[in-house]
Amino acid sequence: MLAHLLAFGVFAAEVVLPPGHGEAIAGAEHTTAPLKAPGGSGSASIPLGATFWASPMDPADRKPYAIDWSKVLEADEQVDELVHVTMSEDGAMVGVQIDTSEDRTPIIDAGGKKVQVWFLCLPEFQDDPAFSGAGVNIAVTCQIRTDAEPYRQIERTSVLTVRQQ
Amino acid sequence: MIVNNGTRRALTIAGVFEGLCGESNGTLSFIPNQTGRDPLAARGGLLDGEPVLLEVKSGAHHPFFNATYRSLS
Repeated sequence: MLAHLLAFGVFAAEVVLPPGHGEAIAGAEHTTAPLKAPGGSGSASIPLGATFWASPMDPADRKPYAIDWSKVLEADEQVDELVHVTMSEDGAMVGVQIDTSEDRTPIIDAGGKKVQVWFLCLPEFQDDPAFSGAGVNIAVTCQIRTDAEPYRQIERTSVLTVRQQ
Repeated sequence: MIVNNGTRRALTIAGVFEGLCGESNGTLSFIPNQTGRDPLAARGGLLDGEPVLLEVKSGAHHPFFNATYRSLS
């Protein structure tokens, strides 16, 4: 089965997509807000100061999650470009992916302060024992450029908890 | 815009893990599936059949172990 997935490119490491803009529809419980000066504790794959999405994801869910950059941006500054969104090696291990299907690609919100990303867990991984109990914390790194002159480039890591619910 | 979902590669670490691991930005992720050795004591393995030197670290709050690697071939 995995050989077929590899052959069909399901695990293709990287895709380049045209920039997307739209209305972020993720609710407050599915929104995390990176800090200007992150602190706190990290671990091997989750860096210091990473912020968590409050609402965990069930492996079978397919829902939007947002990153609110308001605390990082100046009042008159907006997200101009989403440079990259990168799934951690832990996500790759358990089949959690950034959704790149039509209508679910990452977008910059029309208000210019948020980025929205959809996640999915590949069906063949959804019953993985790693998702039982407290589940797993999956780091996702997002890099943006702002509309400041000259532009500012900012990268932050957010953490998605995936567990059976 | 680049979306990077990482990839999966065949990893063998004797007494620690055998199967497909996750990889993103040059770091490997695996959940040990053998009990013969302490994962943190592992220094080498086979990645896609090629010998590699490993530096293994554990995550504090989840089951994953992460490793950077250097090819020996």
